Amino acid sequence: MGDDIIVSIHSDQDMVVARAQSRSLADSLGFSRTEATLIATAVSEIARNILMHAGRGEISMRPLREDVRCGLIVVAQDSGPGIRDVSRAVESGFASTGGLGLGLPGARRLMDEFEIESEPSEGTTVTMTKWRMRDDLERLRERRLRRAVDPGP
Amino acid sequence: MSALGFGASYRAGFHDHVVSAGERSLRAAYELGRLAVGRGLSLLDLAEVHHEALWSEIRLEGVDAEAVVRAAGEFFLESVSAYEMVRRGFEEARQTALLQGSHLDMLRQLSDFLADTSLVSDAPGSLEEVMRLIAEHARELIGARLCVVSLTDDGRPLRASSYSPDDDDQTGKLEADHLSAVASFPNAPEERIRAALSSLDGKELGSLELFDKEDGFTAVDKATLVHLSQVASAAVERLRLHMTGYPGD
Repeated sequence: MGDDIIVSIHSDQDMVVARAQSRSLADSLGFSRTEATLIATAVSEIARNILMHAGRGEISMRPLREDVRCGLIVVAQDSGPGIRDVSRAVESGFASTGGLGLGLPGARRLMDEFEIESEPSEGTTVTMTKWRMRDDLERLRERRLRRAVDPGP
Repeated sequence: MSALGFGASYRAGFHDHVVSAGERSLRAAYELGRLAVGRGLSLLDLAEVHHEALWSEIRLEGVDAEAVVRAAGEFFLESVSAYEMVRRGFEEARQTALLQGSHLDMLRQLSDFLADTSLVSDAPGSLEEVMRLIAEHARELIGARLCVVSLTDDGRPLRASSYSPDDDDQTGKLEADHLSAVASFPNAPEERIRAALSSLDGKELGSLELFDKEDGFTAVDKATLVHLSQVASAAVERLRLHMTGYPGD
């Protein structure tokens, strides 16, 4: 997991670092400015969730590369009190978001994949992924670059 | 914080971003957008506040207008990201409401179907009548162009069908095409869905088939058909028991 970027979340300032790292990674993976903003927003929401409910935790992120798509996976972990009812926590109207659809439900809607594992008193792990489809030209260029670096036998 | 207070905070945040753009000032924009959502400010209100902030910044003497406008785009994009979360939530709620509406329609039609079948007596031809009812309700409920109900009654094959009223001019062709398609391509999945009609003891009584739906059949359609076939099976079996007499009568 050499590509992993890990940010400890202890304070508001750490949220800024996590946002910056996610934006930079999204940018390097070719996400548009709008998509990078949405990713940074989703990361902010889960960082806020850690600070609000657990006090401290960690956010790690890494790139995902496949033939037809590339993406960014973000994993947020804390050892806080956990979530009693996970399915309710990702629905709008849950108490901590005031029913506005921000917080975890908001983060879920901004990303393509979203999963929560949580046990009372054992903490919470949120895993979320955003994908970007790669067009034919981009894949062709990559193949040519690979051939240039390693022409083969 | 009042609307005026919010405007002042937004102007201050934007000024910081113009002077020293970075993740810290972008984070402030995101927080301001979140605050605006929480305070019930509309997107139009936020756009107005943003415009005022841009105007107050750009009219300063010696300002680099291009840099300010670029900074304004970044700051605004960040501040409206909270609205995007809300917009997606609204869209999700709308889809849920549509789905609930179609479930209610389905329940109403199933209820109509049960009421209609209960009216059919043991008069001659009542089984054919129930089959026609099943075909009509299934076709209307799922929105297919054609429904065919097949049963075997004492070794005698029975078939009833229902066509969409929109297909009046090609009914004969449609029937011929599709019934031959049933024989030739029993598993053609794109144009046809099928559910068995079964008795309580698991014996197959016949089948319920739907053909041709605009935009294709969905997983919900398939689930609805299975549910409908269970209700239809019960109606057919009840009618047969009624016609032949209940055991012990």
